[in-house]
Amino acid sequence: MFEIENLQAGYGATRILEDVSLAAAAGEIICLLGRNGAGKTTTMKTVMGLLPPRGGRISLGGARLGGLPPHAVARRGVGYVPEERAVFPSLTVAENLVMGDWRGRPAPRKTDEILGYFPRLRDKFGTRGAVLSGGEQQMLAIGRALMASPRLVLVDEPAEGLAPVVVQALEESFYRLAAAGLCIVIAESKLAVARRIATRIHVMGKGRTVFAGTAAELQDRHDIRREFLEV
Amino acid sequence: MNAAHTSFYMLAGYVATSIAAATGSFWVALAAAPVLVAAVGLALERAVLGRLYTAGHTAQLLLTVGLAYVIAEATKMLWGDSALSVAPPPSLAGHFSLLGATLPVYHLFVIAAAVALLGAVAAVLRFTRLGMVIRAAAANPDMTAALGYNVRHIYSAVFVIGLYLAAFAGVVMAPMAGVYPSMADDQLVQAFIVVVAGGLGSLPGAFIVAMLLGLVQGFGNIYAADEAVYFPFFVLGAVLLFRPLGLFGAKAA
Ligand SMILES: Nc1ncnc2c1ncn2[C@@H]1O[C@H](COP(=O)(O)OP(=O)(O)OP(=O)(O)O)[C@@H](O)[C@H]1O
Ligand SMILES: [Mg+2]
Repeated sequence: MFEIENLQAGYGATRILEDVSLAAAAGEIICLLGRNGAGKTTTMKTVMGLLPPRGGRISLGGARLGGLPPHAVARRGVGYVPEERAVFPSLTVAENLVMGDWRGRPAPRKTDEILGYFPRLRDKFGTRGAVLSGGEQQMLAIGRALMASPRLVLVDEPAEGLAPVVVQALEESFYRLAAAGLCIVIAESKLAVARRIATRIHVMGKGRTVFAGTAAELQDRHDIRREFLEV
Repeated sequence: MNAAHTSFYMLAGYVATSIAAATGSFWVALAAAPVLVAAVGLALERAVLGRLYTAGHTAQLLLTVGLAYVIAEATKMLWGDSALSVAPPPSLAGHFSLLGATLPVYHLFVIAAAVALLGAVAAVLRFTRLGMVIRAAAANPDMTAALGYNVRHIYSAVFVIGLYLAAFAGVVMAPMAGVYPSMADDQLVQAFIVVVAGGLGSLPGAFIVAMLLGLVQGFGNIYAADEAVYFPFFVLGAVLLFRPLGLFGAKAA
């Protein structure tokens, strides 16, 4: 359903992505696995239209996304949770969620559904984004990305800096969302995490997709693990 | 960053004088002139200014300064370079006395209009969906775009609302201060002092400094009329001496 083929992109004169490919179906959790600087964030930004692609194709449900501006990508059903979470600091939790739906004031039923995934946010409804804990911000950023009922969500290193219980709660919400048919692409730098949650893993090294397959298949690829994952 | 903002303030003053002269009604001028000027501004924004949102402050400053000159010259060509005056509406033409001083009733109207406008802007920003989206886009334009909002359109809306406010102020001030070619520059200097001394991006800071300037100039005009023009700069200097980022200035993150 979601496909990236031979994507190239970069910042200014610097080429970062040389050849990134990815395929994901509805209901899948794909991990984009790679070391710091491998190009995971750059890939997500390029899909979102925040960075112009310089070559290759990006498509969702057969429709091209490559070259569209960010708001158009979002409107075609892509949710985005950036690395820094980007919760709006002066807006309340409720307002941050409302911002998640560009079509207008969301139905209370939708907000309820999202709060069902992240019950902790319910008690913080009137709290400003700036004073939330890291875990709460992450839940809010994910919840916000789901408000417009996307078909695909891109989540950049959700576990970064969070306590294990919070990470576990997040992972459970990913399972439930995928079971409901959402396609989830998660950037991750730890193999153990990817092994636990991903239906399939795409390993990135120096701007290229160097492996795509299941956790079990990756287990047998000592060469890939040694060169691109272990430190 | 729009150095031409006060040019629209001036333009509205001139447009209002013409409308008031043609229709004989200040109220018609107050209703129509700001809308006309905001429409001119929107056309300019669509044609040239809008391309500059991503071009950085220097480019914005250069282009809007250029635009300010164009508007100033165009105004002189259309209306000449002598000062014009507009009569306040008859219902507000009287005087009242306060603590022994006699003041025009119209001054009360100016204060009421300013308070009402400030309140309206605050209410829109705080309580409406448009206000929420504007606050979000100001905090993080990329994230706002990634949620499906066309940030370019949000900037246009903010620009036009800002122009409408400036134009409205230009019309309201016309019966009190007159309409003259350097009124844009005078206001630009004042606005610069208010914004910088208040702290960039701080509404409360701007409000307090504006009040302070009003007081300083008011008393200055009474006790030292010749020197009063320099007083606003003393305020700016004094504030920046103790708070280099302005009263409520915060370091950029
Ligand atoms: N704004 C930028 N300008 C120039 N180069 C950049 C910029 N952002 C990232 N890079 C470079 O692009 C490369 C890939 O960075 P990217 O952030 O995509 O990696 P990542 O896989 O997300 O890493 P991490 O695990 O640290 O988040 C790095 O070499 C980085 O230095
Ligand atoms: Mg990253």
